[in-house]
Amino acid sequence: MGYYLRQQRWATLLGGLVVLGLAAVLSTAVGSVPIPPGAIWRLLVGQLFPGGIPGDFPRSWAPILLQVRLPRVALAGVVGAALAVAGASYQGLFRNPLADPYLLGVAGGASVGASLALAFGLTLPFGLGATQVLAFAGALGAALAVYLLARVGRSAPVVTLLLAGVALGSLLTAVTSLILILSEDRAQIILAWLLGSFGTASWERVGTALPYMVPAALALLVSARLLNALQLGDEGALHLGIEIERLKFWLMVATTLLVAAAVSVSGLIGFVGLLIPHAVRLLWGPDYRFLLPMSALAGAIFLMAADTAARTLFPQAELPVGVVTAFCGAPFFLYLLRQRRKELGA
Amino acid sequence: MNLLVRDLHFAYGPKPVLNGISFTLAAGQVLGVLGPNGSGKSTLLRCLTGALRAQGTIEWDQRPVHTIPRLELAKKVALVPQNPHLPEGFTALEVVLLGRTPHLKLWDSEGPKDLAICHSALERTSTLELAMHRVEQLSGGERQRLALALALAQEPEALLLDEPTAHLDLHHQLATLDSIRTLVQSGLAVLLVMHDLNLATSICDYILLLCQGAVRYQGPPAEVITEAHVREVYGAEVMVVPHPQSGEPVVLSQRSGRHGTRPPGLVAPRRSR
Ligand SMILES: Nc1ncnc2c1ncn2[C@@H]1O[C@H](COP(=O)(O)OP(=O)(O)OP(=O)(O)O)[C@@H](O)[C@H]1O
Ligand SMILES: [Mg+2]
Repeated sequence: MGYYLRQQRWATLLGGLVVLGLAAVLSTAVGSVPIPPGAIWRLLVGQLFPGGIPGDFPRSWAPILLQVRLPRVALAGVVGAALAVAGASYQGLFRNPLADPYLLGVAGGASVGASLALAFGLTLPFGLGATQVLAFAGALGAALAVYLLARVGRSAPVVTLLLAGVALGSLLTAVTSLILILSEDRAQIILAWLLGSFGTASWERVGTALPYMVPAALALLVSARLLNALQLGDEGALHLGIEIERLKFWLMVATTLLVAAAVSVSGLIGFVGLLIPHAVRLLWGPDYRFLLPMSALAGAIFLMAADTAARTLFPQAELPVGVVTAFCGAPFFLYLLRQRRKELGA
Repeated sequence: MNLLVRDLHFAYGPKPVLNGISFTLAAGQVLGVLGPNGSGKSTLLRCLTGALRAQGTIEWDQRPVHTIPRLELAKKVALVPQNPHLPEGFTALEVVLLGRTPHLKLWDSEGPKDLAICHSALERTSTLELAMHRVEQLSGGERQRLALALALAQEPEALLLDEPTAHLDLHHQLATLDSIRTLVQSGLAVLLVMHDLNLATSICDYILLLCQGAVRYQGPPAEVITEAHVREVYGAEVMVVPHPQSGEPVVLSQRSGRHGTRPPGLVAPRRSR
């Protein structure tokens, strides 16, 4: 019985992987300069093995594909996966269905960091992106502050954590608004960052985010069975031999790292982290060993699609991707909620 | 597993709840812990697993509870709480599989052996046919049996049960007690908290009668469960008669208006005196 289910799950994950591949090819193909899928792989092979498969393409296609389209699609996928996994993890960790990746004041901290960097036009040595570094530091700093504020003795009660997160979050949002108002001429740039965008995606960005994301995501995947046990409640998990405070602390560290890395390269993109895990849970059940990897795939697919829509929907101007995710995400979420109400017979 | 408790004290903040409790529990024994609401039974169980940190001595196999690593303790001691929290969305089988957590390494997932253990845990609690049902679709009694199955899947050597029959119908009450008896015969130590005095006397080897956080009376059921003790501890007028088959004490509520223990409206209309 268990084995049958296990096989089914692998098949579903494999299916998700195939859809992810298709979504990646399609997002790469469409844009202001369409590049047909056939050309994409020829250009790629040509890049890897010089003088590979010959093709007669416009000269501009290769740089567009390699320097613009692909890094952008990759970044959207990576960030989508990270946010969805982080959302699922926080929801399980706090046993709260409304938990989202920006819960612990991460959004506020990142906003303050990024808007400071943008408002003052800060630059850092060694070619590091000041916005990215400050957003990352702000996110981690805010989460740490929330944790320290909420800590009582050796543990941090969930409700206190959530409330401290909300409180510090709104304080930091106020600070961001202040910076926004005081920096009139740069307000537009800051606002664009706050709404989230992959417009400035590059391979470097993908490269700077991955070293944080990959270990954090792996740590969460390994802990998935313990996340399941945590759903029995603190005392239930404790009676199964889990050192709950330690487990929760490290899960929080890994998840926050995942979010901070995602936010620092893409700005604030809402709804992915809240919506995707819920959709996956509704479709396939709550087992975190499946929920986490499937959320990663679904999050990547969703954000790739949303970003493609953001840059192609209106030819004259690009939409912030956060607007697209909220536009599609919110109604879909409400629809799922209605379904669930029906299911519960309410 | 053997348990030794000596002079146990516990307080929630300034409020003392357990005041100097001492007893022992040996493998193959069923110890009943009885007492009125709020007398500290559930608190006692949580102290025994180290979930609450108490003053005094708590030793599992001669080792103080706080020196035993959680994981090691969870392989040997399982607790079924009074109000088990079972996660929504999980199937009954998935819940019971969680019981294998202490026996699995971080990277492991459940193998055929674990499935077999869970299968028999479900069977023992007659929840096998519910295995693929989701938790929120189960009735109160079914959930309670599932919580027991979860504890059994831990393959413990000692089982702490907080009112395991509270929500069960008569058939399942007796069936649950039967499976507890079977487990005890195979060497399990069981500590049982119960409100049903008759069920308790039918299964317990030894009984602690708690009152306000202290052991008021202890001994074999026949010595502890008497009219005077029940009146004193519970403030209830009862008759205690020997069971026609086993001779164990049976507690009957007093049936007559004279003692005024029941509101008159609840007295059955046709009754021979
Ligand atoms: N978390 C808590 N914080 C403070 N006081 C508590 C807490 N839990 C229980 N108490 C108090 O401790 C006393 C003992 O509670 P406990 O739950 O151990 O009683 P019990 O014997 O299990 O009762 P019942 O038969 O109703 O289950 C009660 O007076 C209760 O009000
Ligand atoms: Mg109790």
